[in-house]
Amino acid sequence: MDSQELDALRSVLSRVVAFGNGKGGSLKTTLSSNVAGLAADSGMRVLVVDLDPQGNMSEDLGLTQVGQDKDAGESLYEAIARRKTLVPSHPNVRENLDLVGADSTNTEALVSWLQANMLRDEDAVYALARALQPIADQYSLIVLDLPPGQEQLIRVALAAARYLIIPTQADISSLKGMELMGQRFAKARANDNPDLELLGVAAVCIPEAAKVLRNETVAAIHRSFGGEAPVFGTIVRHAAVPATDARNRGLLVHELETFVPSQAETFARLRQRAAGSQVERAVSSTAVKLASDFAGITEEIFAAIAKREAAA
Amino acid sequence: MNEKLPPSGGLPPRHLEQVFTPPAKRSENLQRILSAVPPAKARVVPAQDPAPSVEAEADAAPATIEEVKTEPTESSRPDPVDRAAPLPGGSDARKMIIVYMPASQREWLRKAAVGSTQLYVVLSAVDQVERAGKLAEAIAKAQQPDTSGLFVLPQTTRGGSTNVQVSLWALESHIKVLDDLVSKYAAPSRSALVRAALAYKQHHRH
Ligand SMILES: Nc1ncnc2c1ncn2[C@@H]1O[C@H](COP(=O)(O)OP(=O)(O)OP(=O)(O)O)[C@@H](O)[C@H]1O
Ligand SMILES: [Mg+2]
Repeated sequence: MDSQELDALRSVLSRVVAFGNGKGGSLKTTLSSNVAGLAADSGMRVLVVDLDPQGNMSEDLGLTQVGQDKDAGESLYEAIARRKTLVPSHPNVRENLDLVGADSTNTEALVSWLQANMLRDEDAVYALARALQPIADQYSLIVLDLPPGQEQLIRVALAAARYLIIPTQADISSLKGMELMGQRFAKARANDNPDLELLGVAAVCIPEAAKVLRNETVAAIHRSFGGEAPVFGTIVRHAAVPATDARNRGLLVHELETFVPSQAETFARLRQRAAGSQVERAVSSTAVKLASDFAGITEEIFAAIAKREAAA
Repeated sequence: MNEKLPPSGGLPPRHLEQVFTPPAKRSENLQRILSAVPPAKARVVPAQDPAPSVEAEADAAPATIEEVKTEPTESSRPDPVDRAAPLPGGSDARKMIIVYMPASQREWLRKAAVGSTQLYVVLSAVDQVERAGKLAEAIAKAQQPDTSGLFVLPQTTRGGSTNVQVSLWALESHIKVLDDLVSKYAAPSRSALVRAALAYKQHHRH
């Protein structure tokens, strides 16, 4: 690919944000789905691309209950391997939010295709960027949810992205996954995409009360990056109950929080229970706090992008 | 003490309300922080004529759900004024232009561009058809509705195909030539001109 073509790709893909960490279960999907959902809720047109054969993004967006996520990965496979126009597998999963989904069969097939083609064609690394290029203009934000492994998928994602966000938990394994992602980032910048920027590291899943652990984690992140790293000020709290409820019900956290019962409803349920009726477990009010964390970090992400765009 | 113990009214009823009820909208600040249109996209030159012609509107009026996905509607596109802003640098600067064509034609274009660029294929098609004196005819032909079926289908959905975007990185001088030809032959839009020239090439291969 010549440099003009690359420049053309870059200018159209100026708002592509990848969420990655080399460790599984580091909240890549939870964070990316909630950021995308909030952005769409604010009125932006948003595209989410799930690049993980596990297809968890479909769960967060509520597509699994009636098997709507079957073959979700076909459109991306077709777009890359057969050069068809990329059409979101699930347009309008929310107002303003389109999804290009993933599934084990198609997304694994895509990995094989990339494995074979990246060896013989150095432009194959831009396969995702090229697939996104013709439709990118329709979106204000494109979010890529990366798998923890699958080097080929991660490489094409980093070649298409403008920004990388690394979520990490406090434990050493997650921090190691962050370092691995940092190495992939450096390699991608050197070889495939000099415009790629680390927008920030998000410390996630740390209890609000664990102040010391929060500080230690932020310090550990800085150390990993040689002293100074962009770390988001908002730490997404550990809140397993609303996080599980959200995924199991196919709701984003800001949607779940609207089901938190009001005070009056809470007392009504209490009365019912006291009177011996069976009452379904209510949505925990912690959903409100978790939703506020996601709103906070999304605002920071937006501000970081706005700052770079203003400077450009 | 004989003073009466004040009644236990508890907390005022609304005091804890905000613990249970979330604020109106979590995303309400986001719009103020980041504009919907990134600056890079504001540099894109529109493929439509400044005054929307009949077909430019047909291009923008989606006939199927798929088409909504492949062709943005006018309202979702950035302001045309912003999009027309030139790239910095040089009198013959490069600009991104977007043209719309059926997916099948884009496939053909991609294949034809192997070893060169899509822009080159487009420009040489226009050049060749114009030099053969066939451009007017090709434009007229491309505008005829398909009457082979039971119903007359709108242009953009002919044969079930939908128009997709193709972005071309062109010099200002290229764009001027294309636009001059658009006026010369009263083509409905730049996209219509490009589609006609490519269709002519597709069907008149030597
Ligand atoms: N705030 C939270 N507190 C506690 N648990 C959470 C929180 N948010 C999400 N979880 C749980 O953490 C688990 C992993 O989250 P998620 O799927 O987002 O991680 P991931 O990095 O995408 O994983 P993978 O590498 O498998 O793609 C999920 O079971 C999810 O319900
Ligand atoms: Mg995931």
